[in-house]
Amino acid sequence: MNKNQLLPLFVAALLALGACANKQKPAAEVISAAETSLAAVKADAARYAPETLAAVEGKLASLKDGFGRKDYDAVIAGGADLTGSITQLEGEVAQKRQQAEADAQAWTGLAADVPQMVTAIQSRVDTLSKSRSLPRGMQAASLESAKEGLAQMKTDWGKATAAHDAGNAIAAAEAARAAQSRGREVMVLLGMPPAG
Amino acid sequence: MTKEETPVTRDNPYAQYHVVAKGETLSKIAEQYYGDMMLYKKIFEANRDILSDPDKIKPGQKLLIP
Repeated sequence: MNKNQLLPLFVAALLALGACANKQKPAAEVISAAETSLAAVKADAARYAPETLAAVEGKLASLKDGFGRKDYDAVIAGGADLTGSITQLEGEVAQKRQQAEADAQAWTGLAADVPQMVTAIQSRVDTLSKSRSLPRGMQAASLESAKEGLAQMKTDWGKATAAHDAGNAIAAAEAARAAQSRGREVMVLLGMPPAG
Repeated sequence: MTKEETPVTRDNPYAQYHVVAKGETLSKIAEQYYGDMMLYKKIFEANRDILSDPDKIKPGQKLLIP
């Protein structure tokens, strides 16, 4: 191969190097911008949307790998998807934060209501358990179902208070509402009227 | 804590009540709600604030049914 034949190859290599250098900067900016956006939401995301956060961090790690391999085209191409995922994460975090605030406010009412419901049902179950026969219209199976429902209520309420103590307002309210809902069903089984 | 330590009280929003009708007795009311006349004592004890004698109830009295 003579010099005339090598020249085009040399020029092509220079052009490729130049193109590569031209894309390195925008690729680095894609990663930098993603890291900045993610850092702003990461603490809340870890609390409210850990699974989505993990997925986004996986995408970011993938782009960083691409950058390390100098695959800048892939980094730039993947930037839009990552940005979209971060935006989605921000939305999910905002929605969960709002729900947590609402549930934290609802907790006061639930914490006052559910234990009273348990007390009323427990009292009736205890009395009916001592009865030599059941009131007209009530089947023995209903009383047994009520006992099981009461036990489940207590389990749900235990979960609710544990979640509340752990600072998880959403899980606390969800478990408390489950207990409340079950309590209403049990009260129907026992022929008890709704509150109020 | 025993179950008897947290009885249903009148400030419980889920407490059930029975308004006494003419001719009713605590035994009849106990049979209606519990299926057992002998459990009238439960109702009497829950209403000691307004009843002094289980045999003396008056029409219109609002009894707590525990």
